[in-house]
Amino acid sequence: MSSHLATERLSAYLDDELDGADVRLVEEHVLECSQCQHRLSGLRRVVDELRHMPAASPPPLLGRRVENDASARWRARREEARRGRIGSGGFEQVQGPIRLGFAVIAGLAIMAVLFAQALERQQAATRLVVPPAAEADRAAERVEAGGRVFVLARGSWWQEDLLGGGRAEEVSAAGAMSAEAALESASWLAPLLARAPVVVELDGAVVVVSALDDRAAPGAPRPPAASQGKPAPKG
Amino acid sequence: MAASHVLGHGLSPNADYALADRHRYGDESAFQELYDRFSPMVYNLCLRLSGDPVRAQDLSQEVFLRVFKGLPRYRGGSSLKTWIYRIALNHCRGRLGRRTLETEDWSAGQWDQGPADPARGPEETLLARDRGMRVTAALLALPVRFREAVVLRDMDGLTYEEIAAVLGVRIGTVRSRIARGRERLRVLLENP
Repeated sequence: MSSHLATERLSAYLDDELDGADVRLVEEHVLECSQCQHRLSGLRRVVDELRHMPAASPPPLLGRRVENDASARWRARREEARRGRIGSGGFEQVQGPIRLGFAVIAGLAIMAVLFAQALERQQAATRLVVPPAAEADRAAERVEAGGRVFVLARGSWWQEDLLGGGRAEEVSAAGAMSAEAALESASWLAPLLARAPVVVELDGAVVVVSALDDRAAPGAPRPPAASQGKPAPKG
Repeated sequence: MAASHVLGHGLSPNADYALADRHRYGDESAFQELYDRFSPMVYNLCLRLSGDPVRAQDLSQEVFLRVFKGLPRYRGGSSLKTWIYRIALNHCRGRLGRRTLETEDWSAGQWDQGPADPARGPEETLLARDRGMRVTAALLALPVRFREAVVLRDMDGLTYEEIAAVLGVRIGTVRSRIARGRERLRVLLENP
């Protein structure tokens, strides 16, 4: 008689997992081998017992707990969908880091515009046309202040030695200063500033000091000079 | 009633996919249907692996939460039954740990044996209950890999192919684990 059958073969036989030849082999073997017959019967009892074990019913509480979980998930999903709809095509749809990036770019753009406007205002305030020296001769008024001579030309007081050569000359390097600021270091400008802006050299720099009553265009000479009228030859 | 009849709730792959699809598109009743179909299966698996009804309830709740979240990604490659078994089994393995599964002392009296069979007399019912407790205790004494295979085959009624898919092993391995698990049970029950 051949050796005993492997457990794996007996187990597979119970599950109908063997082909026809193997099935015959097992059935013929157990007819002659009491030990394998006993093992096969034992295995069959185990399988029967397991297959007839009653299944437990899920407790009702489990159903409620799972239902609560599902409800919470559905609520979250609906909320998410609602937020997505509101945000569609709008800024709300943009997620955190992207939104921050947009904010930084927008801030930088605003700052750039403001800076450009300030620069333009400053350039406009400091751009002036220096009349030719010959205008000093035609000046209606000539005043001495702070040890210097000022002539009234083209609506502003000009420190006489700052007047140009033979023709009008556009200068953009002059700084602008308010009357209040200028008076702190040069109080002698007060009588001049009471009437018109002053173009003067203070502390080595040429500045345009706005008139005390000049509220329309502070810091700018009034009028800004030689854009009208032909420059007169010097002398 | 045989456990496999209670727990076997497989539908055709198309029906499974349609159910998942309804869930994916916001039909809240789809998940309820899924729970009704698979909660006995999941709860019993958790109970058989943990041996503790309270823990089995917690595990089952967590498994269904995983199923809820994963269901939109279900593409019908396997049946829902196999897919859910795999989730449940992996979850139990992770939550219980091998040591707990191997050594936990389980009291068979905790197990709800189900309603008494009215065809049996009181004595027969007691004998059946006693036999059930011995089988259950022997089952829980098995190494986890054998217990999983035997539970899936003989209690839940999965085919070898389905068990291979759930456990992620070859069919030859499934056949071997089932056979070795049954053999150990046979020896345990014949030599109490």
